[in-house]
Amino acid sequence: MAKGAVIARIISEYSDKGTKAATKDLQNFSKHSNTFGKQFEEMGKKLAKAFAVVEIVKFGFESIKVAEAVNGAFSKMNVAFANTGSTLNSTSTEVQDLVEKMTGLAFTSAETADALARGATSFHSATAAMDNMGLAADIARTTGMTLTDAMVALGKTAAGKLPKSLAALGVIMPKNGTAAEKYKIITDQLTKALKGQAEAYAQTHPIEAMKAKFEELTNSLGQLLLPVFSAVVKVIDDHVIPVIVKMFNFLRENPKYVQPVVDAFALLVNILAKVGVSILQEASYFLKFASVVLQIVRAVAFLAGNKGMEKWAKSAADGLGDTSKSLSDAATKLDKFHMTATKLKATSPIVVKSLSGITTATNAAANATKNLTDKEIQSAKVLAQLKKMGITPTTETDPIELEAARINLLKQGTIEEKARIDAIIAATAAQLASNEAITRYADILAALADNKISTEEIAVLASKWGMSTVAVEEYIAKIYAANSTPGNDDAIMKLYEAWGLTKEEATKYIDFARALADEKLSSAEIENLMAKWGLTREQVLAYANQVKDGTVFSSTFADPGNAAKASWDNALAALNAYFAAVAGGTSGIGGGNTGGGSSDLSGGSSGSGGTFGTSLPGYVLDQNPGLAAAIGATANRTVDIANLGSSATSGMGGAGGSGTTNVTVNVQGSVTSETDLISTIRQSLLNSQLSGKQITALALTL
Amino acid sequence: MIQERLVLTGLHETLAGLKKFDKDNLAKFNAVINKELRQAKQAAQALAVEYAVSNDAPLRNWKAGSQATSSTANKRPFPRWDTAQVVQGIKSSKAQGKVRKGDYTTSAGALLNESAAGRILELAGRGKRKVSTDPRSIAFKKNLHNRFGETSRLIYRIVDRDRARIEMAFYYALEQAKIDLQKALESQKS
Repeated sequence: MAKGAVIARIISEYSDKGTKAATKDLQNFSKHSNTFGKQFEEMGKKLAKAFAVVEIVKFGFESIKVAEAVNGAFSKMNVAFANTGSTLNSTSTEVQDLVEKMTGLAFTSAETADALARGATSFHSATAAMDNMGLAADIARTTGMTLTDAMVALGKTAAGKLPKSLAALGVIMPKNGTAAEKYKIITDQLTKALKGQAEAYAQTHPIEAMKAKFEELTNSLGQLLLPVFSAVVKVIDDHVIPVIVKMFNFLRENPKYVQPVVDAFALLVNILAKVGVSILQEASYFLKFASVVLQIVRAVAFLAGNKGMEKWAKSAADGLGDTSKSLSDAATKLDKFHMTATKLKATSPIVVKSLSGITTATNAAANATKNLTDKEIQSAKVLAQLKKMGITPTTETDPIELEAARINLLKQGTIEEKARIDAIIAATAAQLASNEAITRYADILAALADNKISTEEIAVLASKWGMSTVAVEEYIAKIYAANSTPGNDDAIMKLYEAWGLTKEEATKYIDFARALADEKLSSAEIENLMAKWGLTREQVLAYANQVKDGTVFSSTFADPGNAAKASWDNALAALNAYFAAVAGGTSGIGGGNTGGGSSDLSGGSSGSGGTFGTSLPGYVLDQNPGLAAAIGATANRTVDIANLGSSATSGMGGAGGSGTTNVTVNVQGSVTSETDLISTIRQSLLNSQLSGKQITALALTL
Repeated sequence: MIQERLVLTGLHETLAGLKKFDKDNLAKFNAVINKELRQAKQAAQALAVEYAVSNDAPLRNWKAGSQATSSTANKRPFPRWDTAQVVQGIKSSKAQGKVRKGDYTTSAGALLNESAAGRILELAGRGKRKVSTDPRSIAFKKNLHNRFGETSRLIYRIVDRDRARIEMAFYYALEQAKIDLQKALESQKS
C-alpha cells in the first residue's frame, strides 16, 4: 500500500487486532485517571486478559438487559402458570430441564419462557404448554415463525380453530370428533411431518445454537450482577437523591451557596466512584454507575440553573454509552471534578461528615488490600528463595497431614541433633583418652628420669591415675614392651623380674606385647609365637588375651580392688584411732566424709592436659555423668609429675567439728579437693598396708 | 447521518478453518469476495476515466500527462493528471489495516486510491485546517465542487453507492462459509 493512500473501507470486522487496541486504550484510560487509581488499572489488566474490552463493555450492559428480560419473561410465565392452577414455576426442575433442552435447539430462555406463558394461557394448562413445546419448536423452525407464535397457533388449534400458518403446512381439520380428538389427529399429522426439524435446524445452524447458549451465559452473569447494580441504585435513591433535593430547596432560597454545592458534587462523584470501583469490580458496571451519577449531577445542575454544568453532564453521561473516546473524556472530566473536590472540605462540612463513613470504609478496604498485597509479595519472595534451595512448599491443607509433616520434621531434627551430640561425645572421649595417655606417658617418663622406677613411684602413679599398682605395672610393662627393641630389653627385663616375673616370663611377655602393639595378631605372628614358645594356637591366643586385658601380673583387675576394699576398712579404722590417740578428740573422717573446713591447694598445673574445646549442652552432661566427671576432672586436675615432690598443706582445722586440734598433712603431689585429699591419704594407707609396714603417722607417705 | 453498518465477526477464523479443512469452499468464498471487490474497483476506475473528459483531465486547467522531471522543476510540483496512473492507483485490498478508533474494527475489504492526482480529486476541499488563501487554490476547489460535487468523489463515491450490496454479499458468503466449515468439521469428526 502506497504511503498516504486514501482508503475507503467497504466492510469491517471485529478481529484480534481491534481487541488489542481496545485493551490498550482501556489501560491508558485507567492510567490517566487518578480517580480510579491502581485498583482500576489492575482490574483492567485482568479483564483485558479474559475478554476483548469492547465486548466487556457491551457484555456488561447486555448481561443486565438479558437478565432483566429473562426475569421478566419468567415472571410472566409464573403468573400464567399460577392462573392455570399449576404448581409449576420457573424454579421447577421440569421447567428448567425444558428450558435447557430448548437452549440446545437454539431457543433462548426468554423465548422459551414467553412461549410457555402464552401456551399456558392458550391451553389453559401449564402441563399442556410444556407437552406441546417440542412440536411448537418443530413448527417454528419449519415455518420461520417465532416459538411463541407457533405455540399460540397450536393453542388455537386445540380450541378448534385451525390457523392459516398451520393450514399452510397441509394440515386439515377433521370434521368429526371432539376438539381433543381433532387436536390429537392434527398434532399426529404435524409430528409425523415435522419431527426433527428443530434438531436439524440446530445442527445446521451452529452459530445460532451457540448464540442461544451464549445468551444463557450472559443471563447467568446478569443474574449475578443485577443485585449489585440494584444495591447501588438503591443507595442513590435512598441516600443521594434525598440529600440533593433538600439541598436544592435550600439553594433556591440561598443562591450564594450554589458554588459550594457544585463542589460537593465533585466530592460525591469522587467518593461514589471509589465505592463503585471497590464494590462492583467490573468495568461495565462502573460505567453504568458513573452514568447514573452523572445524570444526577446533570439534574442538579439544571435545578441550580448552571447551564455549563448541565451541558457538561449531558455530554459526559451520553459519552459513557459510547466506547473509548467518550470514556477518556469522562475520565478527564472526572479528574477535574476530583481536583475541585477538596474545596468542599472548607465550604460544606455537613456533606463531608455524612459521607465520611463511606470514605473511611473505602480507605480501610484499600489499605487492607495493600497490606494483603505486601504480604503476598513477601510470601512470593520467600517461596522463590525456597525454590532456589530446592524446597517445594507443600500444598497440603489437611490439618492432620500438616501436623504429621511437622512432627516428622521435628523427629528428623531430633535425630540430627542426637547424631551431632554422639559425634561430639565420641570426639570428646577420644580427646580424653588421648589426654590421659599423654599424661600417663609423661608421668612414666618423669618416673624413669633416673633410669629406674621404684615401688614408691609405681604407688604414686597408681594414686594419680586412680588404678591399682598392679594395673600401673601392667600398663608400664605393656608400653615398654611394645616400644622396646631387642637391644634395650635388659632394663625392662630387670623391671619385670623385680615385679616377680622370671626372665623367661618377661621375655615371653615382651614378645607378645610387641606382637600386640597394633592390638591384633596376624597369622604369621601367631605362628612365630607358637614356634618360639612351643605353644598351641589356643595357648598363644589365650596368653595374648591376657596381655591385651592386662591380667598377666594378676589374675584379674578385681583382685587388687577387692584387696584394697578389704584393707580400706582396716586402714580407716587405724587412721581414726591414730587421730584419736594424737588429739584425743572425735573422729574427723568417717565414711568418706570430711567434717568441713577449707583446703588450701597448691601445686603446678599440667602442661600436657587440657580440656576439650567443644561445649556440650547441659542436658547432655546431665545424661552422661561419667563424661561430665571426666571433663571436670580433666579441667581441674593438676598433673605435673615433675612437681611430685612438692608439698601441699591442707589445713583441716575444725575437722569433726571439734576445732581444738590442727593436723598438718603434707601431701606429695597436688590435690584439687577434699575428696582428692582423702583419696590420697587412703591410697597411702593402702600402700603402707600392702607393703606390710606398720601404719604410723611417719609411715604414711603423704 | 447515522448509518447502520455490518461488522463481520469470525472472518479470519473461518478462513483459517476453511483453509485447513475445506479448500474448495475457501475458493468459493474467495471468489465471491474477490468478485465484489473487483467490481467496486472497476467501477471506481471507470469513474476516474469518466472524469477525465476535458483535455484528458478532470478540469481544463489541470495539466495532464507525466510529471516533469527536469532539475530546474519545482521540487514539489502540483501533480499532473495522468488518467492511466490514476486508474492504476485505484486498487482493492483485503488487508486488515489500522484499527478504527471509533469502534475498534479493522478492514475486511476496501478500495485504495494511491495516486497523488487521484487523491486530490477525491479529497480536495475537505480539510478545514490550513485553508489556503491562494486564489488559484480556491478556484480549483470551487471548480471541482461545482463539477464533481462534494468531496469523496472517486472511490468513496463508489463505496457509498455499493456498500450495502457488498456488505450483504460478504455477510451471506461468510455465513455460508461458516456452515461449510461446520459441515467439514463434522465430516472430519465422523
